[in-house]
Amino acid sequence: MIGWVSRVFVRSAAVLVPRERRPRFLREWRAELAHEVDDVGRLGAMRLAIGAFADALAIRRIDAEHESSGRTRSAPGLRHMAGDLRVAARALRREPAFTMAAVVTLALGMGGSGAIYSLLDGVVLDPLPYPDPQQLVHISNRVPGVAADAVWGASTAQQMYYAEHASTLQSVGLFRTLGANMETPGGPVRAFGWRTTTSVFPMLGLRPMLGRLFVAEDDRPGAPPVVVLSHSIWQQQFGGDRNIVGSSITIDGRPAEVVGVLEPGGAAPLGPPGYRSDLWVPLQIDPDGYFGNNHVYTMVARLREGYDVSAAEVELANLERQLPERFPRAYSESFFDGSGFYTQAVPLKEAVVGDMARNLWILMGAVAIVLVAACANVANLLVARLESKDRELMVRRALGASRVALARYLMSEALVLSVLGGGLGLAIVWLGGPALFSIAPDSLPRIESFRLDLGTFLFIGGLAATVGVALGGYALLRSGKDTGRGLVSAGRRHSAGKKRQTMRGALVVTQIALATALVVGAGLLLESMRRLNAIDPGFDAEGVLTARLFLTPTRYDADEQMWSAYSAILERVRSIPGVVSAGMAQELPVEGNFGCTSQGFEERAVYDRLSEAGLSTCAGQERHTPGYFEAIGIPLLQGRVLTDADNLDPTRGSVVVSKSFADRFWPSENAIGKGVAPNGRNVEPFYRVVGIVGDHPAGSLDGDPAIAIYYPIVDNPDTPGNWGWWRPSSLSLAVKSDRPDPMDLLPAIRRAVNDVDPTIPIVRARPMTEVVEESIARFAFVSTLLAVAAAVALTVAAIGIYGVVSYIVSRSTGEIGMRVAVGARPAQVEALFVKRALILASCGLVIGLGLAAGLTRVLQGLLYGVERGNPVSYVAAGSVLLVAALVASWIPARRAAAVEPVVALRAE
Amino acid sequence: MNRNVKGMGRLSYNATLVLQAMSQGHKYGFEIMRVLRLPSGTVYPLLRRLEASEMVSSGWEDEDAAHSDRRPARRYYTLTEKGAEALEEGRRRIAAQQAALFGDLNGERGVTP
Repeated sequence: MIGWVSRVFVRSAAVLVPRERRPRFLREWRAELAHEVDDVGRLGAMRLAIGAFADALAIRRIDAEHESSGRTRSAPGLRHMAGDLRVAARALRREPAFTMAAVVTLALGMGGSGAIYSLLDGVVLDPLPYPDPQQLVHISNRVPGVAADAVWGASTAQQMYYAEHASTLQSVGLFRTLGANMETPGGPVRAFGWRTTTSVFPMLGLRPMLGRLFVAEDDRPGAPPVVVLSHSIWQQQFGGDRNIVGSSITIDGRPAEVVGVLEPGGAAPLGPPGYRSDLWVPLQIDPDGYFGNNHVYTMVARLREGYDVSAAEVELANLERQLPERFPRAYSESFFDGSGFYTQAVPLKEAVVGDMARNLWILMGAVAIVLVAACANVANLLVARLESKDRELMVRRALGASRVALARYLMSEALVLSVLGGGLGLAIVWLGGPALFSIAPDSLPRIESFRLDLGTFLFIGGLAATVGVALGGYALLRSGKDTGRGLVSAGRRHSAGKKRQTMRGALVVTQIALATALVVGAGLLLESMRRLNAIDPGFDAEGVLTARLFLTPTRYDADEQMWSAYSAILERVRSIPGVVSAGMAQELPVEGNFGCTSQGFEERAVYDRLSEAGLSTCAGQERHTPGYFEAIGIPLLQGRVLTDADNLDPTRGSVVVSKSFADRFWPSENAIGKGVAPNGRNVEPFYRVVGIVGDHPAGSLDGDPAIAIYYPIVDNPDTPGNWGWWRPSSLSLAVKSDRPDPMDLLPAIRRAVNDVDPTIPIVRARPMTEVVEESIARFAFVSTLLAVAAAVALTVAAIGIYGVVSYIVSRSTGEIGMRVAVGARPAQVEALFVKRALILASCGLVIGLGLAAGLTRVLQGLLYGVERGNPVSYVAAGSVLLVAALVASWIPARRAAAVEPVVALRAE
Repeated sequence: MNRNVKGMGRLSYNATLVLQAMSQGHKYGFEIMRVLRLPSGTVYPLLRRLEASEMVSSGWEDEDAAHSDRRPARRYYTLTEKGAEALEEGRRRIAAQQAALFGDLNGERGVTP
């Protein structure tokens, strides 16, 4: 048996063969393939079958040459084609309106597809820049008992245990973000990078350009501090000095030896948006030291040969249950039960790209729909033009032009159009690409790998070729049916016209259906966007400037020192003219995700309630200064906010909680006066809740309300709580101003900070409104692009309707004349044509709405506050389409109504 | 000869090879492909050309013979007289080309025609 693929090839090739020669062609090829497949194998049979196309074309050409022999002397091969293309180009130049319409429509379709493809290629399709990237996995933890969609990082305990015991993993690496003040020849700079385990470099295949990377010795606790620099910071801050290896640089006030410089481009796979990997220092986990339940690390592992992600996940599920036994201080059975904690492994690329992969595929689908609608439009235009050329073609035919010559001519025209469209589309991508790039949010993963390259060029080239052949084939098919057959009777001409009208109608219905589906999708997203923007976030971003301050750890190692620096800065900032209020906190609303740190409670009843409800004791544990709530606009609901006195006398032990915090832990009681303590410590003395403030979303504008507790900067000395890594050495400053642009205050704020301590860098200074926008930037990006795609599809559909009604009007001049002659009023004539258009539009609409009901399923996860079946969106989309159809049909209908009956009848 | 049939005014190298294969008794497309090691996309179009210019003729294999071999009947191609003449001319030309390019086997330089 020959493979079905070969059969399909031969069958497809047969279409090219003139009908009368087809049976012999098929019989011969079947015989050839049938008995030789044993000799050549399936692939060979396929290769053999591909030759059927060459054969079919040869038969065609021989036929054509026979037909035209004696009349014209045809040029061979390429000259033929070049000639055809020249003729087609000349003909198209004579009809600029048609050519423009077709080329622009195709360019929109192909350009849109090309642009999204370039994004998709850079972000999703390109493999990660590490050796065997498919073997890399990201390991994190889910805690459904805390929050349904919370994803926690890994802990040092997990890294220790998994690296030792997981047989599915070849190596396990841990990353922790590191921001540090670094002394450079040009002065202090804020550098970012990673604390990592030694295993990270070989795992990611990162290599040194100079010196060496970490060795096991460096990772030992207490080992002399070493640092590896990135190629770019070495170039920018140290002038590419090759003698840097072995020298000492100051990081956060402490000397560290530079042991190596990474190769260019060496970076960690994950990190906050726009994060740089300037420097790398060893993590130095002490195997005999303290292990906490601190899930703040990023864990990446390389699978051992022969294992996949699911195998690793199964093994990790077993290993995680052993953690309480090995690390009893960090993990307990009750923690597992309460939080529903479990470890998950996903391919690293999936973790890097996240939901953007799905979003880009959605957009790709949308632009593909636009392209199909555009092609349907141009197909209609082509055939309409063909009909207007009926007479010319008939004459050509009568003069002896062969069908093959006619086919070549049509194909050439379609190809010229599609190549021009592709070219213009490429220009659109080339010119519009940077604009697309500029509206793409910083948080778009792998944005740095976005580029317009040969791949995009080839993609559009391939599209142009496919579209050209499809359009040419379609035109050929239509022309083959009823064009240029010589003498055509009036009756046949009429029936042929009817058939064409049906076909054109079908194409328009398709366009409308596709446009409807896109408009519904875009409508749903825009409605989500509107609702997002209408959210009362629980704070007031207007007129607020934010910036991050970093204290050098060597200068400030006690809370009191930090407090005096912060309060001195705030005092100076508040005295700047234009400043209404100012304060600081560890995390800003929307920007920070507020983490989840265990809290201790005075009352046993709280624990009982939580375990009954299957909830954990953890919450977003924040340090903040007085003035913060006023500056950011979070309202005080009850009690009081903290004051300087709470920091100057920390034994007062006062604390403020968010409404969600109060509701979760004391659902039916007043939270004021309740006892609570940080980091799960539950012995006296407790902090007392003195105030309740309003809620605000965590993570992003559409995030859940932060279950937050706000401690003072200075820790209560009577509570030896283990703040550990949760020291307030870096805070976000929020300054409320009465200026139109709060950024005007930045220079004065810089001076104020500088006056207190010139080594404190100010990083990421920006208006709070920008922080809010950025939190939904990815969503806004997808919504905007989908809305643009829908608008283009709508325009294309409107042009389609316009085209088809114009066509009907032009074909019906006689009918109009008759009607007007027997007394029809212009309005009646108009209504006649608009009605026909609306019938088509309604058919398209019904199909489109049905299509939308299915297609919007993919948007489900993107929507906010609106169901995908939201009737308003459907009705709105339907109305938009109907109005577009109305306008698009009314313009040519008006022309029809203006026809003078005498002229109309004469035309007939 | 029909001047409009491409390449048949003067046989191409591949066309000569196809005729040569047929003169040795190879009768159908796949067999010719295999013996000449040429792709199907070359051999079948050439067969069409040669047939159109009447250098080969073709006919279906005897159904009974094919049936006894449990396969569909093949299309067999045979040289016509015109084809045989063209092949002879083609052979001479190829021999001359080879002599010019490679000389004789004793390694002497070829003669520039």
